[in-house]
Amino acid sequence: MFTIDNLCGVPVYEQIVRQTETFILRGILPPDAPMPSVRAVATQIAANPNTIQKAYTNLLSRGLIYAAPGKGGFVSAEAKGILRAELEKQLDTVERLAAQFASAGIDKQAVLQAVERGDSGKS
Amino acid sequence: MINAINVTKKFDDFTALDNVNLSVQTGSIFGLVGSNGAGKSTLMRVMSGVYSADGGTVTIDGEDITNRPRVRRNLIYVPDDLYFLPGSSMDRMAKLCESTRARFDRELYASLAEQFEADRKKPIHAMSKGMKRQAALILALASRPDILLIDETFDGLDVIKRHHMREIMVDAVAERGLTVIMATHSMHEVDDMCDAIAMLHKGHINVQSDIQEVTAALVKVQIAFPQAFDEDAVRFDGANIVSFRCDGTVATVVYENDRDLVEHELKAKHPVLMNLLPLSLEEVFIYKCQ
Repeated sequence: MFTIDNLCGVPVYEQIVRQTETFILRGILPPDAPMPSVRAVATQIAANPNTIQKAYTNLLSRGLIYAAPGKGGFVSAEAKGILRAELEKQLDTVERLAAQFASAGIDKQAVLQAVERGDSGKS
Repeated sequence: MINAINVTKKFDDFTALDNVNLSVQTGSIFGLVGSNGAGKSTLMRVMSGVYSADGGTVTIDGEDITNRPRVRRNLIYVPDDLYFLPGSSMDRMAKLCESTRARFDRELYASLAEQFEADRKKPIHAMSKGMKRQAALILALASRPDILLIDETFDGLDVIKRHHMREIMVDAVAERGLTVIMATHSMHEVDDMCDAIAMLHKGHINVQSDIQEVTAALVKVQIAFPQAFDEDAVRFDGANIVSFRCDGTVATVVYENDRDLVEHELKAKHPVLMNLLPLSLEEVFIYKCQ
């Protein structure tokens, strides 16, 4: 399920977290879908199981997945909503960037166009 | 869990290990790195009971291993210099393992030998270095240990076999909580496989922590000012400068400080260029063991 980029310098556990977020947002992992076991992922990418566990713990603590005792992890029903709420908090980053662009004399149209392109790129 | 507590080991006047403390959690893949002659193999031999410590103890799940073979019966040590019964084949060695190791699994042995295309009947002394190591690892894994101590784990194994060995080890860790301690020179290996490491230097442990923390302990900064400058220009209160290399107006500085602190303090000096860069494990090792 996960494809690891060994050359990009991003730690494996972070890549797994990010990919899971993407899968959730795009419906590839719908609510209540089972997560692959730590063991399966570790063996598949030949990575330290503790690393995988770290990723899963992150997802668990954010409420993106829940654990059914003895059965493993599953995507929670509220996962998409949680991710949306987390991302919304970063809207003020956009505001700050816009202010930076303005003070550097970058045309507002160019900024708006970039927003358009990003928005229409969503699937 | 396996612990070395205040372990000291001397050979005549030479102190190979000086008050070494090591704590390895069950299910961890622990990397033991160090310069040549730092004491890695000695520590492994003390922890596996091959040597007795001159001071301190080694405990497995809280129990002292000294003179108690039962406590370390599920620990297997695969040394750097492999030993096999003279003239023996893998099958002969498997017979020996079966009679001395309660958990030796014949089926697993056969399966592993097949997966690695090992010649079970060939005299091991006639094998190449890599094939010998492969034989040792197969026999060790087939014995289903709780703790596996390996010195230079994949030395001589080709890329494909290395990868496959890793898959098998990782599976055993995930499935039954196998604990692995690997002594190695290869930072790449440690980077790929380990969740925690310790660095040995001249008989002392100078770093022990989980991998993330180790690489976060040092900060590398590329910094430039309009005029030529020296180390004082990049110093601040509490700065612990490990390395400073300046080339006219651009310098590379390594700090042993919190990253945010470094960023904050250096920004206040108004450099024309400032980049904070991550360090590889190899770099951390080089700076720490100089």
